[in-house]
Amino acid sequence: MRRFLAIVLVLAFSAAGAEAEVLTSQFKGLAAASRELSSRIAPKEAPLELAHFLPAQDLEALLGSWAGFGSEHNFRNGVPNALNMMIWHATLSRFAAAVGESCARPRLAFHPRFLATLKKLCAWPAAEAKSEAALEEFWLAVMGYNAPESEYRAWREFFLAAYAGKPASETVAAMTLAITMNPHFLLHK
Amino acid sequence: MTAPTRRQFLKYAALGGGTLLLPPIGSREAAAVAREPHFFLMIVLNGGADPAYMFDARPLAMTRAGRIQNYLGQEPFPWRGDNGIATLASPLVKPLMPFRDWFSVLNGVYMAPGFDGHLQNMNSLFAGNPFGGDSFIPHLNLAETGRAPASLDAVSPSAPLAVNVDNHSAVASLNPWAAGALAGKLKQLRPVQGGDPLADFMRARIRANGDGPGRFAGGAGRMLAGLDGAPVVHRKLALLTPPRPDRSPELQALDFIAQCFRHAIARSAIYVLPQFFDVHAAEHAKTQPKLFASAIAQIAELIEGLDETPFDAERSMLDVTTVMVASEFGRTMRISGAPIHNTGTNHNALSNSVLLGGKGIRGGLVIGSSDLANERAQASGAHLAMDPALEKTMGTPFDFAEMRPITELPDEFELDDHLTIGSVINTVYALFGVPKEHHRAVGRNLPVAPVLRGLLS
Repeated sequence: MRRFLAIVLVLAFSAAGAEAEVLTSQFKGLAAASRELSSRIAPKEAPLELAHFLPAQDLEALLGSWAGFGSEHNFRNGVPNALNMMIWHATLSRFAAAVGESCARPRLAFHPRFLATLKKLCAWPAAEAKSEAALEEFWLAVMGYNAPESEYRAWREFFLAAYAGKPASETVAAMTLAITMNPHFLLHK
Repeated sequence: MTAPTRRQFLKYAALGGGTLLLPPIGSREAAAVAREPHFFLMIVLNGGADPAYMFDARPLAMTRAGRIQNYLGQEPFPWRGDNGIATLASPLVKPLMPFRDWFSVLNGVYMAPGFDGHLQNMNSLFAGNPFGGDSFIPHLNLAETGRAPASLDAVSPSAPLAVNVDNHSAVASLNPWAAGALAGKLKQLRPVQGGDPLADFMRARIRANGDGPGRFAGGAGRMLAGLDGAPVVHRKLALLTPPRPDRSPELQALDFIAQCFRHAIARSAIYVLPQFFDVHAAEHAKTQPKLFASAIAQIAELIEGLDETPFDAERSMLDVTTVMVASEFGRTMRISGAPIHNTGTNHNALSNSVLLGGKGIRGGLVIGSSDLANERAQASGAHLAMDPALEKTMGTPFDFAEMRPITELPDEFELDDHLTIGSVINTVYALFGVPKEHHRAVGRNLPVAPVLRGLLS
């Protein structure tokens, strides 16, 4: 009898009608984005921490993070909304500005290969900085192989047109921000 | 699916008829609703708080009879509702006495009876399903309620909740100090605005990736919507001021919540009290008087703070906020085999207590009750079938039309004869004008849980 009652109650409460939010890709989270970026541009001994660029402390969890309760682990706050987009934008703007300012004097610890890539781009608006090789190298250094080539093409064309005569630090900062705010960089696939 | 019995048919027809008698909301009334500010504050007692230490206490004679632990060791006192229903209240609730006309007590509330875990019952509280799903909190912020949605569904200036819900993406765990610091930084930063070539380019790429089917496109689509809303959130958050450091954590949180409500940053707030009420071990159970004393003092401070915090020139925060105090479940009276003066308590999803008060709620009522009220009380056949050791109290059957507990002892358990958390949430839904399609069912293949109309002012 008890078993029967238990089964009835389980069925009664396991309503299949839970109207779930539409399944969408979620943000990778600040820790995962930091790790990926760090492996591409920072030396192993001095990993990059995007958390340093947050506009205030204790905001990391709002950008997507794992939380556990007992044996259950869930990814929280990963669905994009106005608040986390604003925080991502503020955080990545500050990071991008630091990369741009590094044209004059390195503000972050970069590994030598990325430093060489950055140096080429810091000649902007000179022709060598606008070469396919220099642009692609920088794109791959920041984005990795996460995005299709069409994204790279769109990015390249935009900067060759809209930033043709702008100073290097402003351009490099804008390029970095445009890559890191791209859904292929921020979202789980 | 089996056909409803004649009894069920008559009961639901009566409830449905009651729904039809509700006045429809016309366009003028809808506009008035839209202008009328209304917010929701959910105070969570985390870990499963024992109602016996608040508004569903038992006489000391029952402790002497070895039936229920009582580590306070003081006789509870009668708490009579304006509707004539009485319960016993622990002396620990005395700090809430000044507010007794402001809130109502709901006892004997069923959570997820077939499930025993914290997570399943917290899911049941928020989503109406032990496996999780859509939480009720964002539903209070839907445009269909007749109010312009706030930027976020809720803020939570306390520890995050352990709950599996699918739609809390706009429920932000933001502590008042972080929000204050963020506001300072945001004043110096330019919001991401259309018209700036770089912002337009980034937007165009997000839009291009958001076209079409699939999860990735869905995520990019949400990024685009987020980017569109970001400047407004930026400007609103930049208006926040940090809390005063000389105030208690509760009042700091309340100050932050009030600012979020005033600036239309959030419709709701979730405040998880710092106490953890999961007292399985006897030595933990013995700390309950202290745990409840501090939690009740904090609840009283929050209510008083709402009363003293202005919403605008005419109204206090208390005038515009509905407040709910709830835990994920109640607790057993004891653990079998342990002496009554040295026992812990386990989870009990068959009887929980909820406090509901504030805007739109009739205060001073006692709704529902639990069984085994004293050492002489008989258990029903339904109770014995589900809890043969009589370790738990169970919500008594409930007459929804009369809003009174039913005293007869049923032989068989039927969930839809009882007050469930679904009815509590549907009452909040009715108060906020949440569309009927979101209202919770009593359970699978059971009708919509009745709204507690008598609780609405």
